[in-house]
Amino acid sequence: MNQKKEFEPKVIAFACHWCGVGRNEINPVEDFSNFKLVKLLCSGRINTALILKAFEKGADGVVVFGCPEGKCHYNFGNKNAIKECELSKSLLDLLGINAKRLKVELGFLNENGKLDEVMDEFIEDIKTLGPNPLRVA
Amino acid sequence: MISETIKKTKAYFCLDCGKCTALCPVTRYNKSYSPRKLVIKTVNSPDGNTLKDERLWSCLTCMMCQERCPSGIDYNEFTKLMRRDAKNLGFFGEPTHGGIFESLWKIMTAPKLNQNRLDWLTPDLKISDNSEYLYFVGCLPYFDQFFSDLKTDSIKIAQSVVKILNFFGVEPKILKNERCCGHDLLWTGDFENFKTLAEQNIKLLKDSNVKYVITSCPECLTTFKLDYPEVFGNLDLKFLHITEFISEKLSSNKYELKRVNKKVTYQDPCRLGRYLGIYQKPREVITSIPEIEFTEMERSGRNSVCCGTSCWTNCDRYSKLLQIDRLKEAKSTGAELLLTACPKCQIHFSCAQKDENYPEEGKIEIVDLTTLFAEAILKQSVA
Repeated sequence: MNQKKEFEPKVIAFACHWCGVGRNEINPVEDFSNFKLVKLLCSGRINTALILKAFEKGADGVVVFGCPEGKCHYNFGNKNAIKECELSKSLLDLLGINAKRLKVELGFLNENGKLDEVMDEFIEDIKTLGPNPLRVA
Repeated sequence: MISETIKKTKAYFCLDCGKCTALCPVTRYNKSYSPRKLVIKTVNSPDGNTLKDERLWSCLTCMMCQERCPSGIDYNEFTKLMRRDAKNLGFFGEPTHGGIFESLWKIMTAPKLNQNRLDWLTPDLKISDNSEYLYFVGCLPYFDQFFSDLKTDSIKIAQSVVKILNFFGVEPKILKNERCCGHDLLWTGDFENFKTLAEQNIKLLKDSNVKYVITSCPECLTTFKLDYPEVFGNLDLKFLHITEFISEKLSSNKYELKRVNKKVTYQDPCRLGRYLGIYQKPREVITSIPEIEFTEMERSGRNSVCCGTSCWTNCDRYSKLLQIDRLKEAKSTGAELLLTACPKCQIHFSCAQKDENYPEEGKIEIVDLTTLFAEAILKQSVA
C-alpha cells in the first residue's frame, strides 16, 4: 500500500487550443504540478503515432482534450481525435496495456475548476492501475 | 565506422559501372537516387558526409542491384550498416504513418509486456502446446487493426495458416508473447533494440521445445534465417515459410483440393525470392490448386519488382508510381487476382489502389497466397 502511495504517475495531456484547455496564456508545453500539457491547434492533430510515442517514452496515462461533439472549430477535428483514440485503444489492448490509460475528454472544461476535477480523477485512476508496464524492469 | 563498412561490404571494388543504378527500381522514378553514386561518394571520401545524405533512406533493400553487381558488393549490408551509423549520429529517414510502427516495436522490447494478441483464434482452429511445429504469427494482429480501413484483413492470413496446418494434420503451437522479429528496426539502423527483440524471441523459441518454426511473413523468415545467426549463432531450429511446408506435404502425399476457377498471377516478395531463393515453392502451391490459371508477370522471379516501400520508411510519390506500374503489369497478364506471399506487399499494393486518381487499368484484387489456398482445402482433415 505504501508503495502505491509513493507512485507518482507521469501523465501527458494533449489539449486543443479552442476548447479552452490549451488556452492562450499557457506555453506550448506546460508543466503542471501533476501532469504535462502539450498544446495542439486542434484535437484533430492527435494521431495514434503520437499517443503510442507517449507510452513508448514511459507515460503512465494520456488524456486528449477537445471541443464538444459538433462544436469543433474546424468542423471535423474532434471526430478525427475520437477515431484515432479508438484505434490507439485497440492497439494498446493488443499490447497488453490497459486501454483505460488513454482518455478522451470533449467539452469546454476551462470553467469552474472542471479541468482540475477531470485531471484529478484520471490521475487517481492511473494510480490504481500502477505504472506503465513498459517502465517495469 | 565507415572504413569498416567499406571493408566488410567490399565497396572499394566498385567499378563505377552503374549496373546497380540502371536496374534500381527507385532510380527509375526518383532520378536523384543512385546506388552507384552513394557507394562511390562513400569510398572516395569516407569522412561521414554520406551518412547525412537523406537518399540513404530511399533504398528498398530489394537486393536487385546486389544480384547483378559484377564486383559482388554487398549493397544491402552497406545500406544496413550505413543506416546504423547514420542513426547513431541522429539522422534518419521519413517514418511513414507518423512513426507508429517504430513505437510499436520499441514498446515490444519491454520485458514485462503481457500481450493480448490471440483473439483471432476461432474455436475451429486447433492449436496445441505440445507440438513439434510452432507458428510465428508476427505483426499480423497489429497490421489488422491499424490497416482496417484498407480492408486487407491481415489476420485472415494467420487464420488461414492455422487452417492449412490443421488440414495437413498439424496442430501448431502459438506463442502468446512473441515479439516483432526486429526486421524493421534492423533495417532502419536501430541495432540495439533489434538485439533486445531478438534475444526475447530466441528465448521464447528455445523454451518452447519445437523443431520447426513456420512463418507466413518472409521478413520474419529472413530475419530468423540470416540475421539472428549472424548475431547469436546457430539456433538449432528449422525455419520454414508456409509455402515450403505446403509444397513439401503436397509432394509426399496426394490431397484432394477444391477447384478454384480463377486467373491469377504472383508477386515475388524480395525477402522470399532474392534473399532466400524461394521461387518455385510458392508457384508449386498455386498450381496445385485444380483449375487455377496461373500466368507470370513480365518481370517475375529474380527480376521481380519490389512492392515499393520497406521498413515503414520513406514511402513517397516515387513509391506510389512504382506500385501503380507494378499493378498495371499484374493486370495486363489478364489475371483477376494478384497473389502475394508477404502481408506487407498486400498492404502496400492495397494502399496504392486507394488513391483518388488511381488508374482503372491497374485495379486488381490482391489476396495472400495462404488465404487462397485455405479456401481451396476441403473441410475435413486428412490426418
